[in-house]
Amino acid sequence: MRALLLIALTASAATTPFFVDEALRAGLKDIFVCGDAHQKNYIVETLGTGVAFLDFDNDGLLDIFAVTASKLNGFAPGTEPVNRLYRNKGDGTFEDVSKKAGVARAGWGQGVCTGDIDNDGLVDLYVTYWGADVMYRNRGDGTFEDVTPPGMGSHWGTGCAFLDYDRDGKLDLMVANYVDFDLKNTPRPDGPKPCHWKNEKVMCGPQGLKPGLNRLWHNESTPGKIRFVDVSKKAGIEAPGPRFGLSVTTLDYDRDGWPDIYVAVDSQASLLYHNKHDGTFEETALESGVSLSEDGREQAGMGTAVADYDGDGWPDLVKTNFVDDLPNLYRNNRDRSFSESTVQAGLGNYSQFMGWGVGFVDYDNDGWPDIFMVNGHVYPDVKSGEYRQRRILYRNGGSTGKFIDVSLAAGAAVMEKSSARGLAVGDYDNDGRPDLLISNMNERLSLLRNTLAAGNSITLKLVGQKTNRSGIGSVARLMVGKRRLTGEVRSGSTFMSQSDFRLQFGLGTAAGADTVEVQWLGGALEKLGALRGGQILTITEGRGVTSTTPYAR
Amino acid sequence: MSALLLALALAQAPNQAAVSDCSKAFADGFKEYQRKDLSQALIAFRAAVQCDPKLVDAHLAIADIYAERGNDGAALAALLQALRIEPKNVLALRAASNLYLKNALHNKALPLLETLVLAAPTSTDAHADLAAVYAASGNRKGAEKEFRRALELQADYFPALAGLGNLLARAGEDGVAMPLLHKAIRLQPKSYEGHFLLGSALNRLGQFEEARTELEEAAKIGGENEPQVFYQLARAWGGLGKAAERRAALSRFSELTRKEKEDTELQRKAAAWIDEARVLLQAGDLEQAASRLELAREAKPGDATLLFRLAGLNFDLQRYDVAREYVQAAISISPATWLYHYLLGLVERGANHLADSRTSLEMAIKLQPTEAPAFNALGEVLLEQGEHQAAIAAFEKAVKLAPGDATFQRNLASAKQ
Repeated sequence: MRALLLIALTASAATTPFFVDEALRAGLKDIFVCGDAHQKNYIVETLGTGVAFLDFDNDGLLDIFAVTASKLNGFAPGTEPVNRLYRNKGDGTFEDVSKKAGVARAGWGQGVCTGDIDNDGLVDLYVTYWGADVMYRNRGDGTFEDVTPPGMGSHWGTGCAFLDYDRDGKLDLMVANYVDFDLKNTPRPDGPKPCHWKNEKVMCGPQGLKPGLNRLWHNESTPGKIRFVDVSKKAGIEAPGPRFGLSVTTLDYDRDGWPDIYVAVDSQASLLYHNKHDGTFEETALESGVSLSEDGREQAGMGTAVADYDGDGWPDLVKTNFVDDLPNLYRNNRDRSFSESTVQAGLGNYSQFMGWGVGFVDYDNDGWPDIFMVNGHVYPDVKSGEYRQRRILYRNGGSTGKFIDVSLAAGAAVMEKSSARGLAVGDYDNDGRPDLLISNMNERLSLLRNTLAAGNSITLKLVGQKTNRSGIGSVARLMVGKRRLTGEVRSGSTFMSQSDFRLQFGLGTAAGADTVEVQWLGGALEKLGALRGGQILTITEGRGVTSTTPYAR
Repeated sequence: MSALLLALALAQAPNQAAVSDCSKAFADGFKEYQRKDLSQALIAFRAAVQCDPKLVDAHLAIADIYAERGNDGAALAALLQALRIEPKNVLALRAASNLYLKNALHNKALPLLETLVLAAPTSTDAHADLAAVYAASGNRKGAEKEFRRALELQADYFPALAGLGNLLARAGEDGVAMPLLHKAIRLQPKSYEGHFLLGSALNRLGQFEEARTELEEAAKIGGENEPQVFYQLARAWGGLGKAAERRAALSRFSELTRKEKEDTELQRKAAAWIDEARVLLQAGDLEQAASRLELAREAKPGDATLLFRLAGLNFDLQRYDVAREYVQAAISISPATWLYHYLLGLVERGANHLADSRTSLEMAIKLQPTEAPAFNALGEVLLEQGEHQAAIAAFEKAVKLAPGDATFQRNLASAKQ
């Protein structure tokens, strides 16, 4: 009888969904557009748009910024879709403050990343466009001002990330540019020279089009004046030549204390810029084993995420790719190289998904970063591929080294099909469980609230003082029993999106971390001793824990 | 495709040829083929399909000769023509799918192979090829089924053993995969592919020393120009902690892929130059158009169409020597294309080489007896040679084929006077 009861309980637990789409209840009803919903004549209609979790008003609650593109045949005046800023009201709902905040801009928006560019304690925004990118400075009164430096971002910007590559305490900016796109001279599927995919006429690109050039901007702002200087050439960013760059993520992959940059590239070799500590970078993706597939083939890289998934203290990488291919899980070898462990780790079962946004998210708070991927095809009108695809949640099996697809158990919100693109990870209800924000092509957002009652966690907000205020590039290391947990604050990553800066660590059954230390980027190593879980702690550089807030449960 | 196809096609030929009025042309082609004069054989086979467009064996023979000359496009066109007549022709299905696979056009090969396995269900290689295409397009289940079917038909079929072993190794089913790969190598120890696939699988398993041995063997016995062999070798060296060796393997990989990329890029550029030439031509700038085509030709020296276009442009610019060189090069690649002989006839006439012009125009007419401009041009040459009756006959033929053409009528009337 006891055995039967156990089986019944296990079955019940396994079938209780633990991600619930709260978008409509939360008031996130707006449609985010990228080209025609039913037919894509040009590649610019296919990338979709990014999303961000950010706390723009410093009330301790994650707000949402969502980017929209447009349609090639335009909209009637006054009906154009605009980027949206939604303020978290703290009761599970959001209010649209876009107009009041001055960010309700129309145009062909693509991606977003955040960082405190002027170290005033307020998070600022960078929005990429097919057209001119926009840098917004947060005034601190609920509004933003356009401070885009002249000449910044006038191509087809996609992914971006703030980082302090020269460790001068000010956030610099890396922007990927996809295609040097010329609408007039690009063939259409219904034109005289269409492109084909699996014998069907489709939009053309990126192959055959002119790739873009990645840009690195050095922050030379002075009080009251925002100034960024293009150092791409001098810093060696241009050296690999033009590429179809999509997502940008930063990581200190060799743990030398200097941020490196990884760019997922579509249809060409991806790029890893190793920081040489002198203001320049060397592209080392091939030598490091993160450039190509396991077979040495170029892939259509889309989104990327970084975490120490195997608990060895070194950052590993995951990258999503086109259909008929697998994602890449690159395990850090701790010698400036990575080994691909996709198949061995259990990520080799699906090649029918076209992956975009990806994040390491410890949804069950067991201290092992799990993986969440959003998918969707680029061709809505072909017979050979499914345009709307489900998401995938992989549970990290910990010491087994294997990931297991738990999407079905996670619930309908994960199994729901859409042509998804952007993904942000963050705990918007401050309950100690990471939630997920997804942008869906020509649809409303999905806001997947994590309801799983499993495991304790601790959330750390790092605030730099001598180093950049956002804490970007700073690393927290925790010991929990024998387990070592590592997290780095980063801007950008996933796919043209921005996750929460706060570092959330699953503690499993532990009440807290036995030791916590923070290695500030370019600054001191700060040892904090034991810290209790179940709360959000602000750690201010040089001052230790400066505030604590218990989880809202 | 190989001469095997032609041999098989010709083995069937007498029956069809015997009941056809076009048997002589086909038989002539066969004779020329046996004499290894492929150009003459091609011309005769073309004449045979002119005579009877449904002569499948002649289309197959044409395809075979084109394939042997490296003109895959023309070979495929002939094979597809054969398949339009006989959609389940096993030889045509096999040859066309092989050509598509050779050119990495898996999606085009797929429907042909699916038809082929139905038309020839006991063909081991058809099942194995279909499996490989399924594997390449991500259809793992289909690939595994077809590889297994191939192995049911022939348990020691190397491509199926290696293919299935590779497929399963990639899926992490090492327990089943490794014996298959080892068996494949035992069967064909001198095939680099087997060693390469085993080495790659061993890399995945972290057995780097064994992987290195296999991959070095692969590089020695035929894989020396295969970039992937060196990429895997670099992985093995990396796993063994040998940084210098790893760098050397990656360097070789980069060198080989760079060349591949440069070739691809050059082809892309060539296509762009051809497009530019078209625009310039439409604008009447023949000189610039010719210079763009010349650039494209350097990238695609074996492209008969491009050579023909260049010849045409130089003919229009009255550079007859240059035009002759180009059109003769086109003819050497595609000797049964009437248009090339026709242009050569016009070039020779422009250069006042009337005898040569006449020979070329007569060849064009032989290959395509329905083209009025060729008869008209021949008439003009004959007239210049003083052969009035023959010229009148040629003009009459031109007028008959294109009764509405005023120039042909005027030429005929003038010749009669």
